[in-house]
Amino acid sequence: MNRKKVLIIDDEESFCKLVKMNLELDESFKVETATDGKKGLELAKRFKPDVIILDIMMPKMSGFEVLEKIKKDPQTITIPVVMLSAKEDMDFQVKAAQLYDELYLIKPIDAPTLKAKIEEVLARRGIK
Amino acid sequence: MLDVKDIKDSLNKFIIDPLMVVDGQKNICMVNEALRYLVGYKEEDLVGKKVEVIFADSEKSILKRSNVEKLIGTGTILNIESYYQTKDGREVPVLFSSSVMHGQDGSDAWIVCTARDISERKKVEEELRTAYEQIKEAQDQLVQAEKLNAIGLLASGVAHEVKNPLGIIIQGINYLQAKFPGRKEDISNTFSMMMESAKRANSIVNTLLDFAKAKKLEVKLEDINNILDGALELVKANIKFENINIETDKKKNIPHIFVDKNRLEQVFVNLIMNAVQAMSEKGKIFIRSYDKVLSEPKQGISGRGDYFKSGEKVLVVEITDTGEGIPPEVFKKLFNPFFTTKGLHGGSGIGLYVSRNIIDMHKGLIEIQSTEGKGTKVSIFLRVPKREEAE
Repeated sequence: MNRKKVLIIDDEESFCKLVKMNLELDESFKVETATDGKKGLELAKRFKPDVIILDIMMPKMSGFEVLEKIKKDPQTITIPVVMLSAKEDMDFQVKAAQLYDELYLIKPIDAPTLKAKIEEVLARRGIK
Repeated sequence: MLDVKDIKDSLNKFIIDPLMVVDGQKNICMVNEALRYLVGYKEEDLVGKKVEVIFADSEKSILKRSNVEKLIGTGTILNIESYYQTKDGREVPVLFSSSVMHGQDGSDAWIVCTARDISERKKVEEELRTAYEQIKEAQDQLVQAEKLNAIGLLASGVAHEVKNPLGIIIQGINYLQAKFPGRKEDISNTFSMMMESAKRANSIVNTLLDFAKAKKLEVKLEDINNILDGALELVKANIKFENINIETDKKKNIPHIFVDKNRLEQVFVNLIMNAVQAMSEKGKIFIRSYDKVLSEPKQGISGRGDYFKSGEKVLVVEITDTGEGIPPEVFKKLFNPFFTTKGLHGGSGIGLYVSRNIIDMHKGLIEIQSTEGKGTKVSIFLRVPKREEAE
C-alpha cells in the first residue's frame, strides 16, 4: 500500500509529535517531523512528502522563508504546502497565497479537521 | 441744602447700577433708569408695587420672590446672588445689596437696594465650566483609549502565545479519544469536558484578538438579510435551541447597503448569542429587518457615532428577546469592555464593546431598550446609501 507521506515543520516539538501520532492512527499515513526550517528542507528532499504542513512563526528561519526555498528547488517545487499559524493575519494570508501555498490554517486545529484538510489537498493531487 | 428732587435725579442719571428705594411697607418708592432698562418696566409699572415684583422665584438663589419681603429691611445685605425677573419673564442674575436708612426721628425706614447685572460673568463662568468639562471628557477618553490600546497590545501578544499550547492540548485530547474510544463513560466524559474547555479557552482568545484588532472595514454592497441568515446559521451550529423559538420577519427587496459582511455577521452573532443567554430555559427571539425614513434625529445610547438626521433613510435590524431584561445598574455598564454578567461560563465581556465599535465604524447606531423581567430589544440603524452612491 502506498502510504500518504506528510512532513510537519513546526518548532513546537510536542505539536509535531501529537499530529504525527494522530495522523498515523490511520495506517494510510506516514509522517515525518522537523522542528526547524533547515531540517525541514533537508527532510523534504530526502523523504519526498506528498504534502508539507508548515508553521509560519518559527525562530531562525520563518515559514515564509522555508516556503520560498521549497518553491525554488526543483526537487520540492511540486509539493503542496499547508501553512499553519496561530496568527489570523490578513497580511500573512495574502503573502502565503502569493507564495503558492495550498491552504492557510489557523491554530489551534483539532486532529479530525487537520486530517480532513490534508486529505482535501491530497485529493486535488489525485492522491487517495 | 440738597433738594430731594436733585438727589432723585442724580440717582436716576448717574448711578449706573440698577437701584431702587423701598419703604418700610416694602413698597417700591423709586427706581432708577438702569433698573428700568434691566427689567423692561416703566416707572409707573413699579412705583407703589410690592418689592417682590422685581424678583424671580428662582431655586438657584436664597433671596427670591417668596421671601424677599421678609428678608430685606432686617439689616444690611451685601452681594447676594439673586435673580431679577424681567417684564418678558427672563431671569437676570444680579449681585444684590441693600441697606436700611432711618429718618432723623427714627420712625421711617427706607431700604436702598442696588443690584449689579452679572449676566456676562455668569455666561463666562458657564462657558468656562463647559470648556473644562469638555477638556476633562476628552482627557478621560484619551486615557481610556490609551488604556485600551495597551490592553489590546497585551491581549494580542498573549493570545498568540496561548494558541500554540492550546493546539497541543487539543491534538492530545484527540489522540487519547481515538486510543480509548468509549471504554468507560467517565473517561469519555472527561475527554469531552477537556475538549470543551480547550475550545472555550480558544474562543476567549479569539474574542481578545477581535478586541485588539483595529482592522479596516472591507465594505461592499450587501443584502443585510443574507448576513442575518449567515449569523443565524452560525449560532444554530454552536448551540442547541430546544426551548428557544426563533422567529424572523425580514423585509423583502430591502435596499442593499455598504457594509463589511464578516464584521456585521460577527455583530449579529454576538447579539443573538446574548439574546439566547438572556433566556435561562425557554423563550422567544424575534429578528426583524426593515427600512424606514426617520421622523426625528437619532443618536445612539452610547452617545457615540454620527447623528442621523430627520428624514434620513435607514435600515433597521431588531433583535428582541423575552429574557430577563437588564437591571438599571447593569445598563450603564453595558458597553464597557470586559464587563460581563455571564459568570464563568459566559463570555469575556467584549462582545457588546466590539459590536458597538463595528457599528460605529459603519457610521451606524446601536440602541438598547430593556424592561427587567420582560426582555430586551437591540436595534441597529445603518445608513442606506443614496442612489448615486449605490450605483
